[in-house]
Amino acid sequence: MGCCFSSDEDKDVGIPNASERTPLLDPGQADHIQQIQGARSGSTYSQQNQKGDEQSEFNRILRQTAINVIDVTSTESQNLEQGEMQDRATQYSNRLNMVLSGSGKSRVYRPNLPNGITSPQMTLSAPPVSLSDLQLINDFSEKLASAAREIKIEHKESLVVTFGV
Amino acid sequence: MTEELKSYLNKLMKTVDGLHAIIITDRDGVVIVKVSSQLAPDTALKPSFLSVFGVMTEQASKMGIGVNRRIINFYDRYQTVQLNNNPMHVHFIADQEANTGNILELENDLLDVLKDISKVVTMM
Repeated sequence: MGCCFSSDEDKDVGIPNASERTPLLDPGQADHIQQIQGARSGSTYSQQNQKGDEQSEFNRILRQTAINVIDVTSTESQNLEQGEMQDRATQYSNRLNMVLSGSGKSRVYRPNLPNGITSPQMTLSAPPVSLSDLQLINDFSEKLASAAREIKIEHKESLVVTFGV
Repeated sequence: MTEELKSYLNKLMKTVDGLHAIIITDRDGVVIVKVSSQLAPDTALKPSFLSVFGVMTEQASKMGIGVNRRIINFYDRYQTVQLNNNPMHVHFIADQEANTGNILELENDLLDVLKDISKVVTMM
């Protein structure tokens, strides 16, 4: 029991394990204050510089916040002018021609081989699968297919069970 | 040379049943290469439609789970599969019943094409 505030922690104490000899102001902070005071008494240039820094930092935060905002209504504003779009499309077409013909060798696009084939020469030079193996695979797949077709469910108990209500 | 590229894209388009158009655009929806069949809906080929994906993928990337890479939309009769392959976007327009997995697989066959086109976009 005792005092009403006996169990409360002293929230004013900012420094943990503080004693009566602990300085109230952190020496690091004191340096900082001195710096600010020096700046105040010094030239106005550094003051302006600091203000400029603050302003640019503020602008940066503002810009970052605007970038992070999810806004799906801005589709209209991002549409380019018809003329500009046409110009850019023409430029792309010209440069595409330039890039494709500029490489020297004639470029032939081919679909890639399946991912599993790392060395196509090995796969292509391997002996073909024997007829007996193919027959075996066919037989088994047919048997499995017919077995799957013939699966029938025979229910022995009633599917709907009444609980003793 | 562009004709060769277009004929390759046409060939790829025919490998998936129901695929009607392959369009490669920049981030603003400006068309760089386009191949389409007669069955492709006109509206879906216009820059005003294609540019919306640029905004949507950008906004979806802000959800906190990484960069958005693909958006698939299903409509009454059509589906669109759109890929964010910075600095380009790839758009596939297909029938609603077309195999979406097969369309997504086409990205692998487009790697060489996209590498060449990215040079064009970065030149701008």
